[in-house]
Amino acid sequence: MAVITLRNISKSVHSGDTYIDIMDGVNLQVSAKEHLAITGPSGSGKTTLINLMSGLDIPTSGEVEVYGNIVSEMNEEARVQFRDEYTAMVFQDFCLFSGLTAYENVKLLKPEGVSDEACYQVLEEVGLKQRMNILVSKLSGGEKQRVAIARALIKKPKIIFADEPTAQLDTKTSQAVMDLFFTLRELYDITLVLITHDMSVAKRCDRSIEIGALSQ
Amino acid sequence: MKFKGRNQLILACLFSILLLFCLDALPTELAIAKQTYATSWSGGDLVIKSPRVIAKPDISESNSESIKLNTMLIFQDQAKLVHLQLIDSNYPLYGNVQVDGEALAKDTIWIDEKLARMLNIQIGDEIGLGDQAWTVSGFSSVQDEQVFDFEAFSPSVYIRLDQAADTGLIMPTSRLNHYLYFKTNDVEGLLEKLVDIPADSRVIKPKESLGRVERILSEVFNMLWVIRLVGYVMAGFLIHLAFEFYCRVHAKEVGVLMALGHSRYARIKFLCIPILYSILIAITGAVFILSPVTAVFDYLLQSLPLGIDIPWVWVVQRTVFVFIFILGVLMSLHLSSLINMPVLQLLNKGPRSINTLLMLLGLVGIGVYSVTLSWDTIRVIRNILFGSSILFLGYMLIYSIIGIVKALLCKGGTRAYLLLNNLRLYSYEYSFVVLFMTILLSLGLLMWHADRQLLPSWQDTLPKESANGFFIGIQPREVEQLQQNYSWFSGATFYPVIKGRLLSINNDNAQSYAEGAFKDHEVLNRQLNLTALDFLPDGNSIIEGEWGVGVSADSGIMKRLGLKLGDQLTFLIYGDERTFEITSVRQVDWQSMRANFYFIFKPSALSEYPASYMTSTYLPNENRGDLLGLAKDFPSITYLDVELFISQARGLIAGVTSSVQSFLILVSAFSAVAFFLVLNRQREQKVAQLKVMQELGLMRSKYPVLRDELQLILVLSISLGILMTFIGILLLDQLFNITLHLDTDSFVILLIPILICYSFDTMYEFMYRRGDE
Repeated sequence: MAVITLRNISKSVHSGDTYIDIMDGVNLQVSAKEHLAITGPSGSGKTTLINLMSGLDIPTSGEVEVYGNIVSEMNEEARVQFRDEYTAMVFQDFCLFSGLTAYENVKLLKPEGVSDEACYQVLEEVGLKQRMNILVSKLSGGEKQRVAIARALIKKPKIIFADEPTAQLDTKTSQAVMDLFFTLRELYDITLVLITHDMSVAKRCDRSIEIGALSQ
Repeated sequence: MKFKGRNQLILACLFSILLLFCLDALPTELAIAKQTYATSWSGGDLVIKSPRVIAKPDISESNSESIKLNTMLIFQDQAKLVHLQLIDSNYPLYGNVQVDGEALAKDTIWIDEKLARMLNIQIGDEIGLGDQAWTVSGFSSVQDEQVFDFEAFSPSVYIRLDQAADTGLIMPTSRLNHYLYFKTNDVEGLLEKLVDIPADSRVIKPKESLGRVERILSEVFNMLWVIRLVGYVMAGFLIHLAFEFYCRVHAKEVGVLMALGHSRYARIKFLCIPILYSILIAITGAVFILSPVTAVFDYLLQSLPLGIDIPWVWVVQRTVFVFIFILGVLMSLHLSSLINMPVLQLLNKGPRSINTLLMLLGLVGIGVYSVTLSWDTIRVIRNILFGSSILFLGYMLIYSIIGIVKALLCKGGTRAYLLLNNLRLYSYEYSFVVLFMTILLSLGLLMWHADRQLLPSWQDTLPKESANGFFIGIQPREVEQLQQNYSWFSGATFYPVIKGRLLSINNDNAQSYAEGAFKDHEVLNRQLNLTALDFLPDGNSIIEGEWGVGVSADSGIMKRLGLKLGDQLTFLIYGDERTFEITSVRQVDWQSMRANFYFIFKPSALSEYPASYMTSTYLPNENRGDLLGLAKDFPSITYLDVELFISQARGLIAGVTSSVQSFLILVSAFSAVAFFLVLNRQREQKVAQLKVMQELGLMRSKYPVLRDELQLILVLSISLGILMTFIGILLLDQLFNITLHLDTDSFVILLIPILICYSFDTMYEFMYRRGDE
């Protein structure tokens, strides 16, 4: 069953006096609990695609449907509410709150009704049990990304969008972070949409698409 | 939890509260005091003032009467000019005359305690005043009614009204004023009963208008309102800078919250809680700082003869209201801009600028503020347009100069180019900083010159033996005696003086002028000294028309009242309405130490009216002792010492200077805080730039440091400050005939911005290095 459906999506952006077509006539379906890797060269529209699926952006034309919601027709606040209900994000540059500890970063974003104990638990699951009370600005890159993953997981989302989560990490740390992603797959029934340049990571996913092939 | 931008917010809020409080305290207090004390300051619910005797009406309302004039007091071998008040037993109806001594009995006198101290007068001493000797029975300290009576420039003395005739000073030609005070709840009803009020009387209704005092206070208020408005703009700018910084550093975090599905409410809560904490800390800090300040204010006010207690609760309420209002508006604008931005823009670009919106809102705010001050639409529009144009032109001038500097820097190397980039990034903030520094410098330089040159330069222009004193109230029979008895009168010219009031101009009531654009002009608001001469006085020259036919008018007064040759002026002279035509225009040297007149008539025109004489003369120091004999022999003559006036004027200028200096200190402190916030906003960008430069291996001399930017700002501010000072000096000369010469010693003031800039440079150098470590 497809939980994400993109129908005939086009996206143009205004740059100076001209419009640039980033994608045109894209169709895509992502099944429930599927792990999808998106690859492609820089500037090919990978991030735009993930932004459209997550409702961070809306298409110029076409329709984005996620869990039966037509995201492309929602206004900004409705899309915020939609993301609250269905999705979580893991960013390339972590996007953590630098003045807070690892625990506070997770706690700040926990939904109503989720206990503080759950924050400890999810941090333990990502391997940060001993580092949870340290300011995130003092953590290493790998640790920061683990906090970001914990922050995404605390929401118990149906879909996680990860935009090159290992781009700023060295090979060994990248491997560890990706191992974490795939380990957590066993614990949480989550659909994962992942942008990566690393073909070995892409191969570990259920399906891999190259962005150039999407645009017709 | 560490929250970026909170310290800046606390600083901006704290400083804004202090600024608003200080700028609110005085105007608020004066406004309240004016209403509360109006009756006391004027002496009654209704006051009638006339140069002639007012027939006392037979009415039931409680009333009082007094006569006031300036005359000479003699004690032992000293003669002093005093303000003599002849008062009846009912005086004062309102307010108080604080006297330490006994009641005012027959042949006794109360004198001002400061005068008593100066002349070493004791209770029971005998002093000469007019034709009689008087025994001192009390020392007066405070007289409510005299608080704003600017005619009483000399110390007051009091004797009983029923002894007016004994003084020998009350004559038809004496320069004096009769006062009638009434206590009533129905001022208009009482006015209807007072049918015999002379036409040249002034009717003062204190609760509606304090007359001349009202006008002077209004001018003071206008100035204070403008200063207050400047304070609002400054406070707004500080808070704006702090919020801009706060929103910029938290924009991405809000974007993350949005991306992770946090609702609008959650995002507002995330942003607002630290702000509320900051405001609370700022308010607490302000309370700690202002508590001793209010105590000092109270202490200083007690030393003034105003009898004012500041209602601090009211001032605090007002400050809080204005602060919350400014804060609320700016906070809503900044936060709503941030909260309502698309998530991708927040994540990738940061907050959008609301500077243009704020500029427009600021102009609307100034408009609304002006409307609340006056509902005169034309005046409001004119003021808004004028104020906005000046500010806009000033801002555009600086913005353009920064543009030119940027263009010049484009031609330089890497260092110049990077400096240019920093200017481009922060040209809006830098323009404001330069604008404030320019204002600060030019005001400081102008005050320096005014303080040191205004009186001395005028005195320097006078010939060595120019007159140093005026003698007024000389009776015709006394002129010859004076010239015979005192050699220093030999060359003096005695001018006849006839009192008269300008009633109408070309049959238009002068009061209609008085209520319009010329309302503050003294010609329309007081008894004038008119003279009739068959010769043109020294220092006067005819520039238009024919001398000696009708009235000759001073060119200055003609210009200010819009008069022209052939206009008909109607004067009220000793109860007669007399109309004359302007037949000549005189250029008068008002800066000379001579008796000068606005209007001079041909001798036959005023021959039927009694006249006293006045003259000015040079009194050598060795002849000053003659004044005592003169005061004894001619008690009705009043001597006005020019030195005394100059010292009073000097005191007044010193007062104004110190007020402006206090304002400058506030502006300086504000500029420093604004500058700090501007620099703080750039800190991360500068540190990042520094790191890149170092990583690229560039020598320190190859990239710009903060000092380069500060030096550029200094050069711009100082150049513009000196330019504005030149313009100010030129305008003073052209508009007010006040000549000031640029004094290079004044450039010591330039040290203020230099100190501010280099202090910041040192501070940031330390912070950057610490950051590097």
